[in-house]
Amino acid sequence: MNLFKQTATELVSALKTKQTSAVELCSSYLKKIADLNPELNAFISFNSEAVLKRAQTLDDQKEKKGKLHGLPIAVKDNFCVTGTQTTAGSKMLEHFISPYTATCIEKLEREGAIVIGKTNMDEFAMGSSNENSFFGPCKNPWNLKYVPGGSSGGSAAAVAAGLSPVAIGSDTGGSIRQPASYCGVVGIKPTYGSISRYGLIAFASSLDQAGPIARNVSDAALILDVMIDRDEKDSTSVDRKQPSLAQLKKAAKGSLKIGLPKEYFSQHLEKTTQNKIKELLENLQKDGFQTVELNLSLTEMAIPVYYIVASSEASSNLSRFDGVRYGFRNKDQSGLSDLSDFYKKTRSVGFGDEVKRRILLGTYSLSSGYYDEYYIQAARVRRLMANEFTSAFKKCDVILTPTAIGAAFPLGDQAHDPIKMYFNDIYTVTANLCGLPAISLPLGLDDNKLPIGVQLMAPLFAEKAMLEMALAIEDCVQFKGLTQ
Amino acid sequence: MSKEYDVVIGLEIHAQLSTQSKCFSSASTDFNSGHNENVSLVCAGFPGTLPVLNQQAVDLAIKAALALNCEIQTVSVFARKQYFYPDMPKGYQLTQYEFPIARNGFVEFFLNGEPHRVPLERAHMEEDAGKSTHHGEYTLINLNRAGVPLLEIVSQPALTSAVEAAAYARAVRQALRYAEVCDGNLEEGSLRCDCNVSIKPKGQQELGTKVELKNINSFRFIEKAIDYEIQRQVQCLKSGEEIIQETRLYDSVKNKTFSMRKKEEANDYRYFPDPDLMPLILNNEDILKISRQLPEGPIARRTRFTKHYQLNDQDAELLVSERELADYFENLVNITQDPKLSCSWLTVEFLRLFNESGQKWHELKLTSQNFADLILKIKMGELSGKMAKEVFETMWVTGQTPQAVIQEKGMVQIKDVSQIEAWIDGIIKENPKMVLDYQSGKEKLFGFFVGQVMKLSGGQASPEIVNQTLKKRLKK
Amino acid sequence: MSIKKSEFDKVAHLAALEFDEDRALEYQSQFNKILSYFDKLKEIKTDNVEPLVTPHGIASPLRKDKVENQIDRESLLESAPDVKDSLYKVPPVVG
Repeated sequence: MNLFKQTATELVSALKTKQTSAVELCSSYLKKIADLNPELNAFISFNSEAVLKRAQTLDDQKEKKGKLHGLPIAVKDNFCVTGTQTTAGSKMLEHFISPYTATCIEKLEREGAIVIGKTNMDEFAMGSSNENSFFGPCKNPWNLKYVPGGSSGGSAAAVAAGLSPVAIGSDTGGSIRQPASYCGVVGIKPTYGSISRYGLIAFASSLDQAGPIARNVSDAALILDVMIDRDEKDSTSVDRKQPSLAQLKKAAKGSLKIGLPKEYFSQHLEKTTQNKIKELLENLQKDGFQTVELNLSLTEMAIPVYYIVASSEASSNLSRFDGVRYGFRNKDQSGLSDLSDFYKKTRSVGFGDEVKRRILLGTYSLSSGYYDEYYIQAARVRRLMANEFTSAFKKCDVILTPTAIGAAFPLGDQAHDPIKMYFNDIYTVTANLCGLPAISLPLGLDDNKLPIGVQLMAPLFAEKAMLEMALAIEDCVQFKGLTQ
Repeated sequence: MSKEYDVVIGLEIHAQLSTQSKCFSSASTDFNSGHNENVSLVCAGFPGTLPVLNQQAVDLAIKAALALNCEIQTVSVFARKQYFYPDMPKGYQLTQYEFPIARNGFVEFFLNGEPHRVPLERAHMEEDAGKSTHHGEYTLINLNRAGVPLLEIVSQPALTSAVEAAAYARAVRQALRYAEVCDGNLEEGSLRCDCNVSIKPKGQQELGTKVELKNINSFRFIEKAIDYEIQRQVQCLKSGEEIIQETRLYDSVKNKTFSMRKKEEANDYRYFPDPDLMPLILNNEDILKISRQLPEGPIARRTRFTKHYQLNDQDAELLVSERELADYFENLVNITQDPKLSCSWLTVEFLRLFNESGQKWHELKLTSQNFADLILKIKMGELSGKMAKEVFETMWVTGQTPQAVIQEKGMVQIKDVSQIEAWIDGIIKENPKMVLDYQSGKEKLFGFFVGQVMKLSGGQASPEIVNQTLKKRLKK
Repeated sequence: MSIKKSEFDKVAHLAALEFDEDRALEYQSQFNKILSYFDKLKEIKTDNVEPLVTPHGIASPLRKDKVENQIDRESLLESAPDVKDSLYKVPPVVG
């Protein structure tokens, strides 16, 4: 049995029937990580000894009740996991060992999952290319000269390259879906409030959601189903009480109506992506799925609204990194004239360029005299955007759009132009702003043999319909990943 | 006070709500723990941690606000107040800013017998910071206090003198203690008071520049600090200096206020609604339920004491000044059925020892039952005043019943009428002139005869029998 | 909208960040580009629109007043850069 070709769903059943063991599975994956990671840089850290020890413990258990018993999972390095280095891709937390585990990771572990390593990411999840990592950029396994996308670049690359059957990422403005799209894998951002944020190092509290990255929709749904739960440690977490997402059926022909917002197919979109989507839609229409054109007139406001809201919240969320209770402190304390010098020395060295840029932007947006003009105006337009989506979903069940304007771009290509970089998020940020569930799944390869993705969005808490539609698309596309 | 200037004072009182755990984290609020022992990852602001609001903090805030006659808001929102300080772990304080839990309201109290009513602007919930101690070369931070729930009570700038401000602060403390929401201890910091003071030439409409006074930890110092500050501001204006809007610290040893910073840094707290918390939504039923649990307040009790027990204003006010004292009083009266005698023993002998000993209410050995029994014995004439005092003092220390003390001390009253008559006859024989004077109308001399009998009896003669017999024997 | 040097310095100070002159200039110019791009937000009429802070409108859940999940002091202070007498140590705070 070639373990690397098996899906997570298949592995879980192989583990149950003892066709393989957690130790065998983990050691195979650890070996592959050791071989490929030096070049790919998908993992910031992994502890083989601890992983194998846990695998052994799980193998020794007589009853293998857990839904994920023995399954290795790669976890983005902004999730706290007890005893692991948890860096959020930053020098600020280079040596931080978390004393606790994030609720959603704890839930996976309770079902028998094994955290195989912590994956690379843009510093504090700020970026769309993984080039903002203090630990060096992660590379796209399809072509090492290209970025894997960001910020969950390490997680997407790890799954695409077969270094882990599944991975966990976080998505603030597309950070799961865009790298999933660039790496030819499936990534889901669920409805805001579905998965506990407790233990996820905050970037922007009202936008952040955790979610799975996997090779196919069923694997992603299997993981998502375990992660979704109300958590009393997170005041924004919701009690969903919804049917299981583990048992999904492909959407029946013609059962769902697909909305196509015309603003998402504008001049920005690259030709190949445009054609591939057109092709897909024709096939879906053949299968009886109706499509309806939508107007989401506020789409072009999404980037400014997103960057103001996200930066404002980030500027505040990152204030706790002050070198007092944990993390980096600048040892050079010469010539401190007052306390604010102490903070400045630590924070200016501990944070990278993009993080500082966004902290400044957010601080400015919240400062007196600009608060109403920027933060409040953005929050108001955000309301209008949410209303626009509510109306749109009266006309359709799911909305289909590209995930990104094209395939991955070469490393170093956009590093010096923040606005161009911000523009990468144009199709993904709306789901975060409005709290909607969204998924990216592979659509095919472009001329450079790099993957491109398609995105589905659904009304709040309508993951089931969205995932069943995704299964239908998956079936239609028949994408072959790197591991197949 | 100056006759040329009007004084305008507003108070911001921070009251610690008496919860077991902190406002947004489940760490303990215990005041006496060792360094950094009452800390959770949430109140230490660890990466990835999130706040969850404490139900009890909300309930106590509502109760407090109702006791202060405020209007409870059905929607309130916690904002982040952002600034860097080492004892503030997250880089921001959670505080209700634009949408507080309570608005308006008023506090009533009596000052020199005159009723006062001070209007309140608002009351809002917030979390406390940690504690910094400064050691010259470095500063040390203890987070035990970080995240403790506070209610900030903001008066309107409606107070006009230092005395009134202190009386207002006492009244707020009283109201909070009656409602059992805050223990009101200024020394331990569970109640803190910032005073905003400004002056303006008499009759001028426009308010003067406001100075904020901090670091005041007793009611006496509230009065002193404000008085000092008013004088300072008057001197400033008289000498043509400008009053700077600033925060000043009160130094109780020097009885002076000092400017906190040389250059006033422009603060920009960048308040915005905390996206980690959802709005606090209260429904009217819950508010009503809490209002039904609210005990009688000090003002209502004062009125009841004067009407129902026929006490005078001063006694009533003294009794209600502490809820425990008023409760104790009512326990006594329930048994003795004698408000006046109970009040007098409580306010004189009891409070004397209470204040001298510095005891707390929960440390008290003397139960109200035993104290009431003693008062009954006094009322029945079973003990002379002198004996009663002695018994009381022993009871205070040992917590025994009056009967036990009397027996132990062998303090049996002499009720033997023939013995008492013998003493009286002897005294009459030895003081013929006094007897004549008394009989010719100098009734004040009666006390002299009582005293003589008591002296002969070693204080043990029954005062009642002494009185009766003396009256009989002294008749012409 | 463009931002003056003095404003940039004030924002950097509030954010507890410092930059050398060259970097400050670079940031400032990027900042101005970003802000001018953001200015199109002002075209949207938002009178009487309630700001949206969190995407779903649930009410704040409340926690029982129970002491739990305290961290033992050693584990807490293990992460700290500098500690004295079980207290966090920082440079002197000017009072």
